[in-house]
Amino acid sequence: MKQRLLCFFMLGMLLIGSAYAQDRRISGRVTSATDGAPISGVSVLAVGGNAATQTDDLGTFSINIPASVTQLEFRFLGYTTARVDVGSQTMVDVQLTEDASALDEVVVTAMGITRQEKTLGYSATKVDGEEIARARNSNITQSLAGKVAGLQIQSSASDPGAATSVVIRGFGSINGNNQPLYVVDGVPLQNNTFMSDGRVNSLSGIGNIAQDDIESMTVLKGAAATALYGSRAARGVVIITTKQGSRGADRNYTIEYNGGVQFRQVSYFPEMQNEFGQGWNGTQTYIENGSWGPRLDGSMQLFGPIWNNQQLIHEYSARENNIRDFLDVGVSNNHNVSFSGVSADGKNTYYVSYSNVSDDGIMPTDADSYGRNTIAYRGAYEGADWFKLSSTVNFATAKTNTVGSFQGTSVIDGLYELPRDVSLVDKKDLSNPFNTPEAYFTPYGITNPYWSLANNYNQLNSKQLYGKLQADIKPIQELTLTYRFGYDYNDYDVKIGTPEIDLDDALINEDYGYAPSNMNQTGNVYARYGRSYELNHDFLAAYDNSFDRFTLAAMVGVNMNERYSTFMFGQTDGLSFDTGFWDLSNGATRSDLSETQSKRRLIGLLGDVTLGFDEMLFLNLTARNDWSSTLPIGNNSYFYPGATLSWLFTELIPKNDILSFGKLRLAYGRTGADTDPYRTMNSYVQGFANGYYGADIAAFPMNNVNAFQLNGRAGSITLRPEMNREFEAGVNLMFLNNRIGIDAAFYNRITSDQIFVLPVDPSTGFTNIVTNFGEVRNRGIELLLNTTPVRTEKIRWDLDVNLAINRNTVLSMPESLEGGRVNVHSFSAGNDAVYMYAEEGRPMGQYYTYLPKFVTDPNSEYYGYRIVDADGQPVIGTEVEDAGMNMNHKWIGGATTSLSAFGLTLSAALDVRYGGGMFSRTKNLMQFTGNGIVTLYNDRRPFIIPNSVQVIDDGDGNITYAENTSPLKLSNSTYQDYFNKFGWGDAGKAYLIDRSYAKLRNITLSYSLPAKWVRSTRLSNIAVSAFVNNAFIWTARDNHYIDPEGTTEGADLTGQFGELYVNPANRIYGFNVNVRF
Amino acid sequence: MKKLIIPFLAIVLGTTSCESYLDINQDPNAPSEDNVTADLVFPAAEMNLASSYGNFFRILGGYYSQQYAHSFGTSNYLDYSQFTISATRSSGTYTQLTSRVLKNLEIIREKATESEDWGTYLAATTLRVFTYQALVDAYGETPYTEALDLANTAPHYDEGATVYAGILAELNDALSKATPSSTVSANFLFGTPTATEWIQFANSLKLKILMRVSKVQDVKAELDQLVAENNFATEDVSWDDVWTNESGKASPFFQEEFATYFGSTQINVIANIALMQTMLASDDGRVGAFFAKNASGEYKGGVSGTNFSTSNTYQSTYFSRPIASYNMPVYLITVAETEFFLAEYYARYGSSSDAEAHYQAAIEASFNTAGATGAEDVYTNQYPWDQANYEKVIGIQKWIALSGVNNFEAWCELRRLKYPEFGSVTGAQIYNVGNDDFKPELYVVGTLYTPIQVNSDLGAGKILQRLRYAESSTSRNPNVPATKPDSAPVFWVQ
Repeated sequence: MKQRLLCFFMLGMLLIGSAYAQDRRISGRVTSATDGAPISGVSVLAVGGNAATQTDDLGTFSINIPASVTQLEFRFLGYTTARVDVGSQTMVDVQLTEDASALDEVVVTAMGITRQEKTLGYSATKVDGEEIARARNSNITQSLAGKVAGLQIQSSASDPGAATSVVIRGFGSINGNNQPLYVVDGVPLQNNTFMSDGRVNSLSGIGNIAQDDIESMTVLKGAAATALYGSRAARGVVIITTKQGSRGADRNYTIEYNGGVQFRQVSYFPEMQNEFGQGWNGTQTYIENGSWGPRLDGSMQLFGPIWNNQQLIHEYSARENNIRDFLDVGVSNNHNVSFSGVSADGKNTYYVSYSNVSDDGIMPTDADSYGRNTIAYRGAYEGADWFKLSSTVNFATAKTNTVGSFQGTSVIDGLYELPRDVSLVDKKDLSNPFNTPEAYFTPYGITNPYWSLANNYNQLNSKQLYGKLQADIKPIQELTLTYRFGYDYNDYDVKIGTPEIDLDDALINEDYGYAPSNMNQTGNVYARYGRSYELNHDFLAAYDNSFDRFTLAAMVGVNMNERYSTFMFGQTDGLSFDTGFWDLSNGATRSDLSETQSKRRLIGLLGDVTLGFDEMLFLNLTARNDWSSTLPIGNNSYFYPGATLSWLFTELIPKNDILSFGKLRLAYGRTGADTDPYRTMNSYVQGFANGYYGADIAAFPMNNVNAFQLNGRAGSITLRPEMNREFEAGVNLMFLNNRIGIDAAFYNRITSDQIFVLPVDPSTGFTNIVTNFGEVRNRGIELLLNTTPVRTEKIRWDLDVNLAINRNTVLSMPESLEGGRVNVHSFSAGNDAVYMYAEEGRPMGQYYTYLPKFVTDPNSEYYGYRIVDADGQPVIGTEVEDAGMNMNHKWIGGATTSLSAFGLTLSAALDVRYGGGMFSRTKNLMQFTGNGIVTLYNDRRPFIIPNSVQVIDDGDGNITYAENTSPLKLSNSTYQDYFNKFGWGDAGKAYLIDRSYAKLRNITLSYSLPAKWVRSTRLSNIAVSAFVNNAFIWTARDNHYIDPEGTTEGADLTGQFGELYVNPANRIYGFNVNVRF
Repeated sequence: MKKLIIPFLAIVLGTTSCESYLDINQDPNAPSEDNVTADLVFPAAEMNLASSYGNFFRILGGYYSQQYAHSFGTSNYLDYSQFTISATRSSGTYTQLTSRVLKNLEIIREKATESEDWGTYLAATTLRVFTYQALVDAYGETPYTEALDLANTAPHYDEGATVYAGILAELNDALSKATPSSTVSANFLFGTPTATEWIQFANSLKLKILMRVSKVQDVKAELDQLVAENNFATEDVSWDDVWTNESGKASPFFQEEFATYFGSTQINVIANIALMQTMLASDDGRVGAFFAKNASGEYKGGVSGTNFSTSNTYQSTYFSRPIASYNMPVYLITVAETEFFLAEYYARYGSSSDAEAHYQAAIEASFNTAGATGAEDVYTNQYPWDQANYEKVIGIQKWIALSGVNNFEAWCELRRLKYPEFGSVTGAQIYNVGNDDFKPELYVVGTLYTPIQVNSDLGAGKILQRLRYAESSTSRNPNVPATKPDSAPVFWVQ
């Protein structure tokens, strides 16, 4: 298939590649009629031809047009479109007047249809490519943060290559797929990720798009807007339009370079104490992995085991920056070169770009790094006015090295469990046994981070080839027939290596109670090779016409979609070479092989009609019917319609300078969704069994016998498609000649009949059943305010603010679940557990954990007091209870601003998330190790829990309370237990933090060199910029621990749960140069 | 417009029908019901049973019967050593025993019934009965009459006596259908193609079931008949010789607690002072077979209810760990157990001399299983037969015999026979956590003691009587009864 595909495309490219002779050139300048200022970015189009260009920063343009063309059209957002007769002139100066009825802007909507924004009855937010490229983020979705109302962007980690979660209008799907569909130039992309060691890395899709290739991104939020895209669009669509071939300033091609260098440093770190050092329960121990020891006094002290009659000695004083000193500055850079042009006759356009990204994170060495190369080609050939052929080919290759987040021998655990008096920077020499597990100062499961970096291995390589071939035929002027073949092919390989530790303690003279050999691990190599593809065939017929005061735009189409994925993985244990040789042949004792294939097909029939009346009232009707292979045959067809109405009510009032534009919109739509393949029947899997701690403690084949067992997940032949229903109402207003714009929306979306893998009582013989159930509602408002407070010839200041409030409610749950709730994600260790539930009547993602007990009798004089036991420790409930925290933010918002004057532009983007809670293992770890600042409570002197009572039960059921007088103290371990076992009195809440934050995502200062300097170099533009990403972060007052954006649990719903050992967040300083020829 | 669309549709759909184009929802990686055979499923069901019964049940049984204590530093099973069980602790095991063991055995039974393959039917039924008995013995009650039916996602729990009556009937029915020459599908337990050994195993199991209820039900007639038949397993019924020293292929208890396959190892399970001092006092030859010497070459047991975490002296190298190896068998029923049951049967219903003979045979068999010598000294000098106190001698010897073999059964028999009894000394007296003062000499041989920190819902001087219903059931099934107190005995306890 792949070969055939490639041939097809070579042909496509050849067809488009030829060049034609030019006819004539016209140049000129476009200015504003209001203030005479030049307008850059104005689209200049040859009427009746295909040539097009844009004005540069000075408002000048140059265009080659065929002799037949006599008119040029000038288009710019907020200005009236002008058509100018050029006659035989070669110079044309044009003044554009500001358009009171703005929003003439064209946006790309479903199935690649372009529509004037004013006709839309739903919310579609467009973000320009320039704004996306500004922060130089390797993953472009990160550049959307704070810019689109109702869009929740969460980078799963600050580490290079980490995937980003994008959720539009709240989490609706309990089964955990809430990511939007990404469509590039009409072609849906796969969005594959791979998760290992607490990191989600991008395998393909949005993560592989070079920022400089993007013309614009449009976010379609509601069901009415997305229904035409079918089943995968139920969670919104992000449409990406890439740059096409265009002319340069005074030539018919442009060469552009954009690139720079960036420096990463740690931006957020747990606050640690510097008063106490290594030890446990207040006494010094030589091998502890925590700072519960005596007060640091600067004396010389031994520590660690005695190895070969040697022992470490150091000054018992705080190494305040022992962790920070370990981390370094990661140097990253990116380069993008593009070559773009139009043939002289305007029939051919082409755009070719190459971009390279190389990121290095804050860990020493390049064990945390990301590299990506992309090549993009777009070509179009308009052979006649009734025939156009266009194609795109994109190739991307990416490599990610991950420093994993996990408990044990990870770098991060080694850092956080380091006593405050132990220095790390002198532990680089890994030939020294004291710096390796052999005689490291602690054998309690953690190790030297330098050793971890050198010995743990996690590399992901991926390649992606995607694009399209499209033919448009216009048999008559009003009708366009389109065939589009879209393809997206992805392959990847993953290698994860865990080193073997095989110690015999032969040279250990004294281990102080716990031998280093307890660190022994067999080591393993995990290798996985996979590939996947998606093919789309779209047949579309679009009809546009107008009759008197009516306009009609109609489209019908067929979409055929096929998706396939396969992977094989192998794992081997008991390494012959302890480390470094990450190959399956390295395993002595075990080799597992496993494979998976999955294929799905979908056929969709779609239709769309927009009726316009008098340029004022627009009615849009859409409908789609899908047939999906993943649903039971005979029940695999589902239909979903939508309707929107848009009313430009300002058409009815006289033109005025106060209210320049006003639109009311209403939309109702449905979207249906299918499910994953192979869920309609029961199946068997190769035999396995679990232990308590070890999974697959039995794994067939065993003893040369193979076996199979029933899959614990029962399929269902009665599955129905999921359905979303969404109502949306909104208003667009523009005031004071478009200086102030407001876009407000209210929506109410209900996701019902969710296809979910529901846990059932295993007594039924199954652990889960695939079933339809549950209803989740997301209801909210979105506000977008665009202002231009200052606009003069020399100075312009824009300020945009957005706000979204989403209220999520689980409306129904199956009765079989006790309390009507289902576990979305959880953590449990020992006697601690934190669950995140979807519970009926509550917002999705309610946290439950064990809570301390209080006196609940309102008649007691001790009402509200903490109940403690005989030792004076908090009494903790035996059942998990509602912790009063939810994963959802109360509101999210953002602000972007830019101030331009004299060629200088200062811009900034702020992203605010308020409210909500999350799980944080880092918080708990800071208490466990005694490294956290909170462990200085009462200066670690004995204390009695304030307002606490002990229960006195007289045996006859009469309960009274007595004031607690039992102090907690280090000497009998109760002080430390208070933190370790009783969660600082909060029990399981010791894992929960407020997830609020405000981030200054980006602040950029850019400068375009004056044109006369530039011209002297034959270039058309030179711009330089300096920026800081994640410049500042403000977090909740009691969050002394982490940047709440980080997660280790996935890049969707489960990722909202929180973090276990997430690597620290980064700040990036960058410098960039843009040169255009 | 329609004119233009129809040709398009014809191109798309004309060549193949829509139906067959979409009929691709067969998982190429998973065989379906029609493909699998009893031969293919049987070993998987067996290994699931082995992984739970020979591991999780072994470990908690060892702690609850004071054969095991917790080592220094780690706290993985500290709650067990305090006679505590939470609903989440046993969730995975409950899931494994029900959905993986019982359900897959049910598939085998269905296939065997269809093909009238009564040897295989007996084998699957025997393991099913064994599993149900273990579930009742652990939890007291469990879904049985409404279980394994996906049409009912909220099965009611049945009383233990109901389940016992049901499985006994099932066993009798299966035994009546199979003959020694009936063929049995491929299995790890016996490996032989005929039902001879499965019939013996089923008889031993039947003896275990009848004896377990013998103090609360009159089952003398059934016992008389069964004993008269005298067709019990003549060798220990165990998964032996199927293990390899690899992750996923070694004996489960070894993998979980001793192997390095799953990352760093932690030392959790050590000998309990109660069992250890009792064995050492009688110079029992099985000590060295069941436990390893500590770093100083001595046998030392720990104390229930602590992990010595603040101790400077009693650290991980101070105590004796169980002996484990990758190929250690997972025992289902040993000859010693059968003989102990027969001794009890004769002591209650027959002659003392028959009882004594079986008592001696039981201890001989236990030494034989352990590969140790000195059985005769135990039953002649240390713990001679005592008809008047037969439950005490059987109880203590069974406790010792099962300590290195089948700790879960030891916990069951402790609850039923009520021997060894609790002495007056407590764990807190034996070891003072506050000042690291360890006085092993206070322990009285052949007794149990209250753990240092004990499950407060259970109270002092008591054995934990049951496991709390598993969270994987309680959180998903509205018909699960209220969790009973930890001190509420299962039905067969008198």
